[in-house]
Amino acid sequence: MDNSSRKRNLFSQEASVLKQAQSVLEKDGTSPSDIREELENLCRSYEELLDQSKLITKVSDRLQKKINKSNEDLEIKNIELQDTLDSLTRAKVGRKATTITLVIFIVVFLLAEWGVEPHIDTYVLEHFTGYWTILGVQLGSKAVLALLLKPIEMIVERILLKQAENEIKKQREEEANKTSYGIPREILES
Amino acid sequence: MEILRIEPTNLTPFVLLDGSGNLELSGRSIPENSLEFYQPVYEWLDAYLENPLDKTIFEVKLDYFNTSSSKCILDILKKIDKLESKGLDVLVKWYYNENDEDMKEAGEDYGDLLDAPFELIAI
Repeated sequence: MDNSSRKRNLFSQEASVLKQAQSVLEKDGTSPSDIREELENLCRSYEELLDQSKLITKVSDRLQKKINKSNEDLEIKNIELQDTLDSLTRAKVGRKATTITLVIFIVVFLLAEWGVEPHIDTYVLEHFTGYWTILGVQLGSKAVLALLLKPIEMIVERILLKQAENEIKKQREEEANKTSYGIPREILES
Repeated sequence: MEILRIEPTNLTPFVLLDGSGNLELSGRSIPENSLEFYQPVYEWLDAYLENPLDKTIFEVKLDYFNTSSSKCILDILKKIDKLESKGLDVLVKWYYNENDEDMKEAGEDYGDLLDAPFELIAI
């Protein structure tokens, strides 16, 4: 930028009109016709400046409204995006929880079959005699295992969800610490 | 006349002043220093006003502009308006998105302040 544009400002033309009027006012012995001429010039410029001010205020307000509308739209989109991301996270966590629960169930089932079931069988045979009673106890023990499936899945899902939430929170904190140029705030501040 | 061509950025508009009477200003105008950005445009127009062509068309296709740009745009339009007072053929075409009522009304406001013919064109 050269010196002339450095000295200029948006209203340099208007400022020069004011300066001219002030100089006429300060000068002694100015004739009434010169004062009148200057006043006419000042009135013309003032009228023009008033028109400009009206226009700029109107246009500026309108554009402010436009930017507010864009911000509102952006906020709505942001909420929608967040909802979608939350749903995706929940779905992902749900699938992971189901897989983990299935693995836990298989392990518990095998342990029960090989470790616990023979003891139950021995106990049942020693204490009960009826066929249906024995069958009922054996099926009951498996039913208990099956009924445990859902609570286990819920607990696993809750733990995984908590982990995912913490991870998202951490990521947001890291992003908040960065400036819009992606440079960590502490580096800029140092 | 020398062509003045300024490529657009995220903050500044595209400017083309080609000396054949076709002038264009398009895009977004939110420069940090509007006066600095528009200074070459003023200078080009001042030179053009000294030796203008018989017909001048100024096309404005802005999406958004800040307050200081609105003053600069007005100053540019005032310069172009001087061609009208010289009795030359001038036309200002103000393009706006058909869904953008704000930009249309901004065009109407500018048009009201000018003597030169002012066309509002929805795109």
